[in-house]
Amino acid sequence: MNNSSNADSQEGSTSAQKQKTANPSESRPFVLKKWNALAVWAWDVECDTCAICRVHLMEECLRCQSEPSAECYVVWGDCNHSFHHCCMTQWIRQNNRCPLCQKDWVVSRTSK
Amino acid sequence: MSNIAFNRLQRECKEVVTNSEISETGIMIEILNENLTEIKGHIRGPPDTPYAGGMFDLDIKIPDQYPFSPPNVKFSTKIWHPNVSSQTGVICLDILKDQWAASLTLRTVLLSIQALMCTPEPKDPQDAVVAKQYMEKPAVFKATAEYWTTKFAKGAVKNAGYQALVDKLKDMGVREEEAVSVLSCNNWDINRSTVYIFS
Repeated sequence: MNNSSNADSQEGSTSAQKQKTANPSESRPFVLKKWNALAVWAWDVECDTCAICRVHLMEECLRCQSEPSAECYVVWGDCNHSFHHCCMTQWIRQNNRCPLCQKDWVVSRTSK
Repeated sequence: MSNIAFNRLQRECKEVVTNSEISETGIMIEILNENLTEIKGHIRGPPDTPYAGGMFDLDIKIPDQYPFSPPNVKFSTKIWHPNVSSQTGVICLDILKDQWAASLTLRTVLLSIQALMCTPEPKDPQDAVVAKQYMEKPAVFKATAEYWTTKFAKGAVKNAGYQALVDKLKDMGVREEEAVSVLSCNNWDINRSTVYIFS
């Protein structure tokens, strides 16, 4: 007796599931019709300003703004601090340490 | 002055003037000439120090090689501090000498000097007499520094006892500034001070 009633209830539940899947728009609270993606980018630098001349790294340094030069690119040290190449060249003439963390300055990469 | 020095100083001056945190810490700058080679700095004496309530002026001279060379900074207001000459105002601070970095600014320099006022370094003194007093007679040092702050930096702490000793020497024909200086160096001993001046 019990077994047959269990079987009946199982049958009922499967038929309800079939009904739900048959009409998906009724069961979902909303349908995604359109999607606009937005990408955000940033320069791959820890700080975006050259600590020596206080100009944005992706702009020419103060000296090159008045006397343009092909040398004005960005240099990264092993310490991951970045500066304009011409600013750093002037600094290391007298002191071969990073102006921000005082570690020995070793160039790890450059970027135009 | 080089283009890089002038342009960077313009940015720095703007930073000091517009930063509200700086006005809270009591740091100000005053531009004395258009080419920014001479600047006047002002530091409010830090609270809980003998310099509290005083306003200290500094002369800042900017070299042509700035920011690759440090600015020349000295106190124009007389101050009783182990790392500042009580006579000339010259400051003994590593970042103004061999530890200068091109990333430092007028703001960081003035903040460092203010920090030095809070925590003197008597083991690396600029004025040996002051440093000796600081280590051997801290109570006398504190009272002397407070007196100098009141006398020269518009401080509020009055010391009638010290003023009476200064007046005694003034009555003997000694200039006030010299009287203050000699008494301070002699731990406010009027007899030793008199011998020092007149011998």
